[in-house]
Amino acid sequence: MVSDSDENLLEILNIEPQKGYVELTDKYLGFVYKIAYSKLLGVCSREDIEEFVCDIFYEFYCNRDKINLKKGSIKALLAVFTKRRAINLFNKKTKSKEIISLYEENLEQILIDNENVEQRVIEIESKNKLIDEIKALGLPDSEIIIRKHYLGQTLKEISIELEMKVKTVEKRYERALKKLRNVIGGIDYE
Amino acid sequence: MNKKIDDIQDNNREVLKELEELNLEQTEKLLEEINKVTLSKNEIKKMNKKLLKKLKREKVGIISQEERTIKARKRKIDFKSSNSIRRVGVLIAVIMTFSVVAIATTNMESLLEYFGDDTEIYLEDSLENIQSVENKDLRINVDGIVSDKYQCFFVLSVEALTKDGKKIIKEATKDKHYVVSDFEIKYDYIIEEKGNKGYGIFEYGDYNKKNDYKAYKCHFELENVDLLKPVFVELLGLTMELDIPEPMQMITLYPEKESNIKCVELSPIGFYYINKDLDLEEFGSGVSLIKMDGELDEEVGYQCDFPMETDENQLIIGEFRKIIDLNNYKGIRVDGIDYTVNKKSD
Repeated sequence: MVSDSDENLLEILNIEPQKGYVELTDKYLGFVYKIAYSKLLGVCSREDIEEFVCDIFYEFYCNRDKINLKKGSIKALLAVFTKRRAINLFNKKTKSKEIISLYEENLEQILIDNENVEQRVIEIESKNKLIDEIKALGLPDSEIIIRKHYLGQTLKEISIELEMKVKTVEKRYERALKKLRNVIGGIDYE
Repeated sequence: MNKKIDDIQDNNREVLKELEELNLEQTEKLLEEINKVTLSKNEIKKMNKKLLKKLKREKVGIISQEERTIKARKRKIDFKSSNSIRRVGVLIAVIMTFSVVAIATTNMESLLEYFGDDTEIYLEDSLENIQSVENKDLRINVDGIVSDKYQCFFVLSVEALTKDGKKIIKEATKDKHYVVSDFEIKYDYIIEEKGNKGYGIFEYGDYNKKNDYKAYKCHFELENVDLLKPVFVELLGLTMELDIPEPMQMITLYPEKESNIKCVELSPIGFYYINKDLDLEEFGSGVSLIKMDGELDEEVGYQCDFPMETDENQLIIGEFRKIIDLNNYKGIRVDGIDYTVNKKSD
């Protein structure tokens, strides 16, 4: 979804790279930081995670001329890139399993080719259904689930973000999970 | 926070973990209504610093091997040497060996005037940007540069290379109302500002009596300044391009008794606070650093801009006449009230 602000940001990145870099980090630091932090906490030190976040932005900045907004928004590109890199690093750190080669891709590949191995091996339909069901929860419940399970924010952080009481967020979260369990199955928390 | 609720995530990863492995299209759809993720002020501050550092470091990574060698050698210098003057001398000597234009030994005096002889922890950063430019008559040098998040200081010197150069310096410094004519600091702002604000130049008395050499301490405020862009220093027709260095460490100090000032921020080059009930009559009646033994340091000079109005959000910016080592002080006294790192419980 190409927005005017993405186009503007990309233009600034290309014309005045350093100013663009500052605007890019200003706008998307929260997304990248939370995704990285939630995935890597426990296997990396805080300093390593912060360095990881810097690397993400810097690599994105270096590839600014290759970014095609028709493929996806800056937000989505950064999110996918961060997730994959974080998962890759997580696997390397834990050594619990073989490094999954499908994550061994760089930003350039993500930008150039959206159709990669990953999509063939993972059940797209299942994920689409999950996303649809999350969206069907409606706001703000869907946002609570996404922030919690995709972005890795705590319920307290979400309550601040949504300007709601923590208790309210907790209750909505609990209720949303129950709904999801009923429609998707497999969630067993009671 | 109900930890049990947060722990639910751990018991339900199997389905929701699929969210970790989405493609671009799916991610787009998932995040379409989320446009902002807020971090704490501390997280933002810390990360912004690291992000800028990363960019600068990578920019520096493109520099020549020769410059790398200079940097590497600088780091190897033993800063613990007991003779601090010799230490600076050695440091400068190493850089001189590799610099395109050597720096006159007289510069060391002006450098020490501001940078002091016991601030080794700041010297390395402050010398990252030293450089010189010259024409046939004059050479200007930036002998050292430091910054915190509010202001940037550097020591600037000008040397005559010819008789004509001496005449130019004499002419430029003859007007008693101006320290030196044809001097300007130019920088870009992140947000639009009307004109450059808040820069100044201070003359060193003893070293400026010569006609062929003058040294100055210069400063400018950093509010809304684009830290990633170079700063241009213009003097007597010569222009020098500088990078603003990484900000030095700052500490926050809290009042030991009730005060209109919530806190004072202290860095090796200055002090900063907002006084919500500023009394212009009493303003600046006393600022002293408090040494570790409780004694007031009356040797360090203090200076702060006089506020033009009593705006309750007016930031008072103070500067020290020379760089201080924060390890030597436990606080600061402002208008009779001590501010230390101990935060009084409300």
